[in-house]
Amino acid sequence: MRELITMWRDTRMIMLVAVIAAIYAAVLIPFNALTIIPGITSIRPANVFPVIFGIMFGPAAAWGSAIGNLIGDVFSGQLGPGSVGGFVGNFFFGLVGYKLWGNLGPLSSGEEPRMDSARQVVEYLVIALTAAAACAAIIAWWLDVLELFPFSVLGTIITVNNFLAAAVLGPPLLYLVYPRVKEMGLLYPDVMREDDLPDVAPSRRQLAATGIVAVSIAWVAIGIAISVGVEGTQFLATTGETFGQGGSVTQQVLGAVGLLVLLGLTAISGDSLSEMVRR
Amino acid sequence: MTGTADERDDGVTARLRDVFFSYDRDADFDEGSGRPDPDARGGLVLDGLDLDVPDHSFTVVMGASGGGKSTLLRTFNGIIPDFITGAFDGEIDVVGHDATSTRVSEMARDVGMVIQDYEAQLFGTSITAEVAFGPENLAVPVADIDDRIDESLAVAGLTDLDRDRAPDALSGGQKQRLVFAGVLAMQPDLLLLDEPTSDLDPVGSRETLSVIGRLADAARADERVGEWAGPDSIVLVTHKIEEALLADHAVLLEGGQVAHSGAAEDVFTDVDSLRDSRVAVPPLVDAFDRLGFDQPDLPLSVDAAAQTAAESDLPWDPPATRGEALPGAPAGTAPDVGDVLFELEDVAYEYDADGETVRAVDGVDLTIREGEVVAIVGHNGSGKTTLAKQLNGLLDPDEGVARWDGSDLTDLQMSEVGRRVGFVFQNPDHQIFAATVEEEVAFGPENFGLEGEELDRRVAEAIRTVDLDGLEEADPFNLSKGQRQRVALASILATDPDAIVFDEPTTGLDATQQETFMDLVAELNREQGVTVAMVTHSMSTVATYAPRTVVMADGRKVADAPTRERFADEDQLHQWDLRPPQPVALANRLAADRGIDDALPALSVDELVAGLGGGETRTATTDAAGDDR
Amino acid sequence: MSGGSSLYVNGDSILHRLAPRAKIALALGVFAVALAFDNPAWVVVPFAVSLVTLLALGGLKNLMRVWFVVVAIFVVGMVVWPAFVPAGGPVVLSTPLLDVTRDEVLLALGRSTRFASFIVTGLLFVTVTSNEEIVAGLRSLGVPFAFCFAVGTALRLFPTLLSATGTVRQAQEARGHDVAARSPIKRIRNYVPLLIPVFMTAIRNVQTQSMALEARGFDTRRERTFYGRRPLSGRDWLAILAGVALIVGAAVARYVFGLGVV
Repeated sequence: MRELITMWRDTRMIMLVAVIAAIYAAVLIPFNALTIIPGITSIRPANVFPVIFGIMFGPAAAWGSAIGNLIGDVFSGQLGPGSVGGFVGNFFFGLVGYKLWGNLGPLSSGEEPRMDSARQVVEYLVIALTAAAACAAIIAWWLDVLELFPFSVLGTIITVNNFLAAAVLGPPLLYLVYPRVKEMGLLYPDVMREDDLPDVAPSRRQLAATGIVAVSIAWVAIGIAISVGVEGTQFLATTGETFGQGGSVTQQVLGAVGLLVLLGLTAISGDSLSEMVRR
Repeated sequence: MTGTADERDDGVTARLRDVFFSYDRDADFDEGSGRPDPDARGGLVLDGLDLDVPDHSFTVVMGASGGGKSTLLRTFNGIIPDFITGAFDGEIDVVGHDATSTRVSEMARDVGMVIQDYEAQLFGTSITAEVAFGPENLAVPVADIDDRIDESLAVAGLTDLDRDRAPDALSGGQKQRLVFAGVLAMQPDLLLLDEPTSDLDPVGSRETLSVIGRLADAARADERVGEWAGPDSIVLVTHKIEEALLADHAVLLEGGQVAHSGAAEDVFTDVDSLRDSRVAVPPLVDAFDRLGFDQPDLPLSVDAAAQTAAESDLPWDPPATRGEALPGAPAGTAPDVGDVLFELEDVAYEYDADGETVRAVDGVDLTIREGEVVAIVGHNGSGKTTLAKQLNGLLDPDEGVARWDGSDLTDLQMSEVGRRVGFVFQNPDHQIFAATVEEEVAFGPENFGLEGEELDRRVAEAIRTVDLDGLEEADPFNLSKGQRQRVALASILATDPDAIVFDEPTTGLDATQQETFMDLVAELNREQGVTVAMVTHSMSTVATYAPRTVVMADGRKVADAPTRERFADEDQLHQWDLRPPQPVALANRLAADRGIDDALPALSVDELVAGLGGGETRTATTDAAGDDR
Repeated sequence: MSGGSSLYVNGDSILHRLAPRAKIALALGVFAVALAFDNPAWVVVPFAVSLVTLLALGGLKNLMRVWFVVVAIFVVGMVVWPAFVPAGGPVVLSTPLLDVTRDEVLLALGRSTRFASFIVTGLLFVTVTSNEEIVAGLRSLGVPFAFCFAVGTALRLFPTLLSATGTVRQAQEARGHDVAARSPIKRIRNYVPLLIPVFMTAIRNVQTQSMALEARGFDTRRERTFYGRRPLSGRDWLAILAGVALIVGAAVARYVFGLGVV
């Protein structure tokens, strides 16, 4: 967790934050692969960036994605209270990559993310799903808290959109850019001073990473279940009566707990890429 | 604190001794002898270099591409070895600091730096914020920053601009001058300039050069620039001779060492040393050297050359006169011209910028025939790039008709046109994405449906044509800028197009890279009859390669004529902010001095030498031109 | 195109001249009003105020850019919300699948209006606040300098990269690349040749930019001064007071007096 603060001492990391934010925003707006609900939701190729940037640029990707989303809001005229959720959600969207790569126990390849084996692709897909879910849960929760949009609708849509873009584009992009970024000396373990990187024992790293996967996915799943009715069968007609404000309160409490647990797990988490790169 | 030049007593702003550097961290310098280990993996970019930069001086550093010019400059403010780590050894003393052990941000108090890429040096959201940024970083009291902003904007010639404007709305030349203002506001003792005009158009270059000229005068004369004394010394790295001539002291680098140094006029007239260091010989020096003049008489300016020619009673026999059948371009391009290929009829194109409609192209008629080489020139914002994009339907006209080979482009898909009309963009990095050169080159033809052996054959041929054989498996991102531009060209050639449209293909390339690239284009035209339309800022490229020139101004076509005729009228060129290259200017001057009214100018050094009574020509391209005549 | 991407509209209105902090306070006040109440009759007030101000200050062009989003949110909100809010009052729409009550319609309308007021108020904010002021505003709220710098630089780089994105699209199009494809997966995958050049062009510059930055004396570990900070004027204080009053007033009206509910 410390590295999220100490990275602000390094000029290159700060510059990476700015560049990541600018790329994310500049691609988010014009590139739109598939529109699902016009004006509301679409699959945006840019959503692959937080995940792969997270793996390569570490903490700079977390801050960069958060700021990039904010800038996207400023330039697309959608700045408002909802942007707070967008900021935090995208922060986690970018954070998950480096916290999870190499820390998923049997699911991890234990290699640098060159995407040259099926195992790495599987590891990547788990990370992409987790990142997509964490981001979606936070944003959907926040908009539910503000009573702008119900959790289930947004939680599902954002998870699916984020994941589709990240899953389809991530492996080919990493395959093409990871070696180049490494060659340029811009991987976060190469840019940051060794003292500023997290130094966490492998068992704790894995525990935290596994926790992040579980919490993110569970949060979206439970959240959706709550707002559509626990049994899932009473959708539409009676949800309102069954849950009403009560469902909303449960939703909001669940979200607060989910976010706190994610923060806690982040606090005890570490990274593996710095060891792989140094090896 | 360190002192200004007048407070230091050694008269030297920077002193480098025995400086070795390699970008490879593991490179080894043999201990003891001070010599580098010849077996080290990383090449030595600086190899035991010694250099003094005197106070109140303006030094220019030149040398071949990759010869360590920029690397050298980066040792002056601690970027090497503090920021760029590699293998380093040596002593560097700059303005009283040990630059080998001082942080870059600390050196910034006394050493300012401006590099080629202005976009990479602008950080502020407004002009004021940009200029204030440096002083803020140095913790200059806020009360003093106002004056510094006024003063440095004045020196940079930017006082007319609204200071709340965002930098991205400025032209390239304005942006680079804003970078100067930002650096000058920090009041450095030593100013480092690394190819400050290489990314600029001619107007931007001239604006920037006048700023450098002002600073140079102040440094030399130890005069004040406003309230501040100005930099004590300037060190400039460049490959442009007109820029280098602003300096009073010149250094030629070769093999990581100083190969030659001395007064600028002496160094730039020393033809052999320049060739040894692979620095382009100034065109007029080259011409008069070939005419047999001795070094002290070799001219650097058009005025000096005209005077020398007059004093030595040299003849002037213009290569052509008005009305006479015109010889083609010196490069021998466009030997045969066929049927009409591109046809624009009253084309107009508008776009929206900041809520205002800009008519980028305004009622242009243009016909280009098979086998032609046509240059499209004009200053930034004249509409030349927008015009070029009408030629292959990348942009559809708002009014008028654009035709390719007889068909209206709006009726054609890019999948039909793109295959026959290639478009090479200014920056190759805007298209390169694949893992290898081969895959990159294959991308276009694959999109157009080629496959199997035919695809492989075309790709291999294209790579061979641009001289990149052996690099098929290389990662295109690791190639030099000149090579990347050739990858972009190969990726177009692999579709076997009838015509290629170029958008400023040589911007950002050095003189050698430019020549290599353009010779390639000329060869495609001469040997395969590929029709070429190129947007360019480089007047020497126009003179050498394009027999026909189209001039754009404010979206309109203001001229469309044989290049030689166009270049004969310099007053008219000046009105369009265009300046002919030195050989052309000298030829025009000689004709005027001798009252030859209907003379058309020489377009190359060869033609100039021939007209001045010298005989032989030497380059391959001119041989081809010879056949043409 | 350069400069064309910002929503800021140059002007000299009272709102334009407020300090960034005062603008933020006012915007928060309006947000609070839209957030506190459920009843559409109440929520429409901040919406209308922001909308009229926006139009008065020349923001029509900006509104045109987002109207589609506003309408879409409205429509989708009206469809979705009735299923998630408590029923009450008479049934106003009866379908074989479900009945929609008056309260459900009112709540859906209120929430959609709230979303719309957020967007229009946010739009008004960026219409009268330049990028530079946004960064200055963050700074004046005590956000650390390095973070503000990153936001400012990202704002400065954004238009450059946006235009690079357009150029990359054209460059690949000229090589016969077409993103359209029937299968959604293939269609997403077709963005690879577009994303990589944009990314590599930007990232290639990071080393140079960082170098240039340090050469300009940038060092987050060192003291620096801040130019252009201006003290709050009486007008700014009034605006901040108004913002706070709106927040407090909305909270009291809603939670003490129970106003503006359905």
